[in-house]
Amino acid sequence: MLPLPILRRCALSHCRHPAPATTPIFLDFLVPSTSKHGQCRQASTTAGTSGGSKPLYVLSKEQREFMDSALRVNQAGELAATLIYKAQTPQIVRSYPHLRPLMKHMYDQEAGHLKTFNHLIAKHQIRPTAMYPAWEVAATFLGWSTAALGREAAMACTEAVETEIGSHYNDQVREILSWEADAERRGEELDEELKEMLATFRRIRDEELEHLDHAVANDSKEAKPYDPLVDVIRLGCRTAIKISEKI
Amino acid sequence: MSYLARTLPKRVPNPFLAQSIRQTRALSTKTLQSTPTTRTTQHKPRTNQRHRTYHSALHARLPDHSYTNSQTAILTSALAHVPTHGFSATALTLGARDAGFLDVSVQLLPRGEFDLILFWLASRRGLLRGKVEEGGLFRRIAAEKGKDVHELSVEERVRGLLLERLRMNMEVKDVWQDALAQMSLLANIPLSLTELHALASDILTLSGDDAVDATWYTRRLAVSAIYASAEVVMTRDPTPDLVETAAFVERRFEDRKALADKITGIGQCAGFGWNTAIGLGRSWGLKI
Repeated sequence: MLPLPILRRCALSHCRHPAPATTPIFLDFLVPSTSKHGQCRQASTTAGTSGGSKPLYVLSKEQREFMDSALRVNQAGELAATLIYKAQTPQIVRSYPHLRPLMKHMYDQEAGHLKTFNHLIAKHQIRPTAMYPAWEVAATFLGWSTAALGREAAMACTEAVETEIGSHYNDQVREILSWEADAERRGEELDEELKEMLATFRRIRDEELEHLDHAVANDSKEAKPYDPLVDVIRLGCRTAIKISEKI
Repeated sequence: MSYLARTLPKRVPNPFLAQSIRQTRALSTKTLQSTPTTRTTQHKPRTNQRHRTYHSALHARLPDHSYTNSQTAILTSALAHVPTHGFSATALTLGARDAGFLDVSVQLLPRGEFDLILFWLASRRGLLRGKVEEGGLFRRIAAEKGKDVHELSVEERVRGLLLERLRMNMEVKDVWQDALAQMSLLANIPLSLTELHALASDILTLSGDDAVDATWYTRRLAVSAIYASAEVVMTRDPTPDLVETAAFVERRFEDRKALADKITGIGQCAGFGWNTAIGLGRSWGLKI
């Protein structure tokens, strides 16, 4: 029995030694184990998920940049939406008290979305938009001025904003779904966070479109200069989205 | 791999260096998999200008810089000569020799000494991250203050990390002024600032800062400014454990806090006045 451990040790040491000698050492510690993923997708198999069976879909640099700007825009958008409703509410409610529950409901939902995205931004270490203070002022002004024009104008503003935001979320959902299809083709699967985010985006998109329906139901189409008003607001939204994607 | 074996020197680098570089997570070498083509263009070490993208615990961190294997080999062994020869061409040449390259292969680094400085900065940043991720650093900082790790505030963590990073400069303290001069050359300023921002950002993220609004920017700006000025003070600090620099950093953080408090106070006061005016107007029946 005695020689067995010794034998084993010899065998082991014999195996262990030649390996480092052939590979240059600095490669081992300078290529972090993590950065090898990019070069070879197969290396990331079974990277600790609950599913276990399928390997994880590895995000490329472009996809990360997409997520980066998408989350930044979403946070800025929800911030603006919250502030718009907050600025509209006092004036609308004063003239039309029956709209109080609706305004509160929409505001609460937007505040919930903002909280979700603030959390995601912090979790994924994403830079918030540099225009943050500018959007705060712009959104408050937009909400206040449309409410000053009357209930119809305020609802037209909601309609315009929610149309843009809804289609924007739709684009993001479509993009993530295309990744999912790509992953399917490779025999991989998206990680839990992305799946959860996909569900969140869908839920939020549906809620935004529900606000759109509320706005139309409350005579948004009756706003007096309807076309110019809606066009200007939509153009402003699109510009803000483009800017927030970059900075 | 066979290509690597051919191009890279057989000798094993200095074990001390291996130790000191082990956790340079911020860096990566390019793994050359395909058969190499003859390259005529010089390969500049690439720097990700967009330092921080989507980060997830389930996905690997993308490296901020990428070096080829030969560049890494030369730079790594050149670092050993920095305390004596400074961030100079001499150090690079000696490093190339140590790594088994010809003297002329220093030309693999088109930015010359500045590449060495960048490598130093990036690798120290990686080391700092490694120290935190191993978990020992915050425990030590907490122990110095006589607290538990969980009681450390974000502010204290930031301060501790910043001082730790400054102490990493100890061995090159005497030659650091030259490096600062190099970094302040017009052509080098963008990359130096990127690296400074990356450091500030890393320090704040590692400390658990979760700003999601405009304070994200002001905090990074403040940490960058404090670090950059503390580096200058450090080069003239004769005390053994950088006591004077630590005191300087302490004072700057006090200043920052005083300034931040003042600005917050002014903002609150203005907001209160504004809201009062609006509310008063509404109570008078104005349609605002």
